[in-house]
Amino acid sequence: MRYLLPTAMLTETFEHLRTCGAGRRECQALWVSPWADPERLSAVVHPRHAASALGFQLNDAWLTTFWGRLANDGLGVRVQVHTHPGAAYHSATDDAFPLIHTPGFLSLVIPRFAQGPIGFGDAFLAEIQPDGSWRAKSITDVLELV
Amino acid sequence: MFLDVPGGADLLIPDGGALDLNQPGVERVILAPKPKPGFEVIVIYNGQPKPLQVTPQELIQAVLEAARAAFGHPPGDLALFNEAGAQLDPGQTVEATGVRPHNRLLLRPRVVQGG
Repeated sequence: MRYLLPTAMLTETFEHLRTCGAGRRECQALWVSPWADPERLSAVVHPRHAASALGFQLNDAWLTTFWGRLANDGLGVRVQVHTHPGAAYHSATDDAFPLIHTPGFLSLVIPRFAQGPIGFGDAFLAEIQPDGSWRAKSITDVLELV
Repeated sequence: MFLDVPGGADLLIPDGGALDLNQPGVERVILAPKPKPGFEVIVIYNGQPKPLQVTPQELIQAVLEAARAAFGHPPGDLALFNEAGAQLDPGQTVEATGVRPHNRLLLRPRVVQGG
């Protein structure tokens, strides 16, 4: 599936990653879209989480509330986005503990705590496979800025 | 097969059961689909709700497996939670974990993290 990503959503995502991470902690954002129109990404969600320079973990109570809210609002999470201190890649922790395990779910990693220019420069995108493994994916193949 | 009870709930005549037509009020029987045992709950995964039939004595592990199947067997360390955020113990029964008809159960990862 090829997702349509509003430029304003990408800008908002970088604002969350930069403000929350403050250039010294990892941070995560989620891109959601309606089940009625999944290709059209519609909102950025900034999860409550604990974080350090080496990683982050979502707050369990927040996750419970969020899971119910997604159903109430008819939304699904399509892409998880998080920062790395240095280069962008999918770590073993990223592989093992994603939010969604459905094949086709995407995970975007932004390098240098998102302190660089807003965009996909040096970013890394991975897609989960039916067996739970991850495979690198061309960003422009599946994300179109609109 | 059901005994028709005018104005009330029809009575299921069990397999091999008998019906005394001499009793007052017994006028007719009707054929209808056999009711499914247990009750329905709603399982939610990534914003999609799906109904699932469960029985009070069923283990949560069996409910978890049925829930995963309903969503195409997603891999990963998924568990069932109630809406209060408590994880349902796979070794306990539906009844013991307090699951009631029409409850919403959350199929979600136990931990989400990155690094």
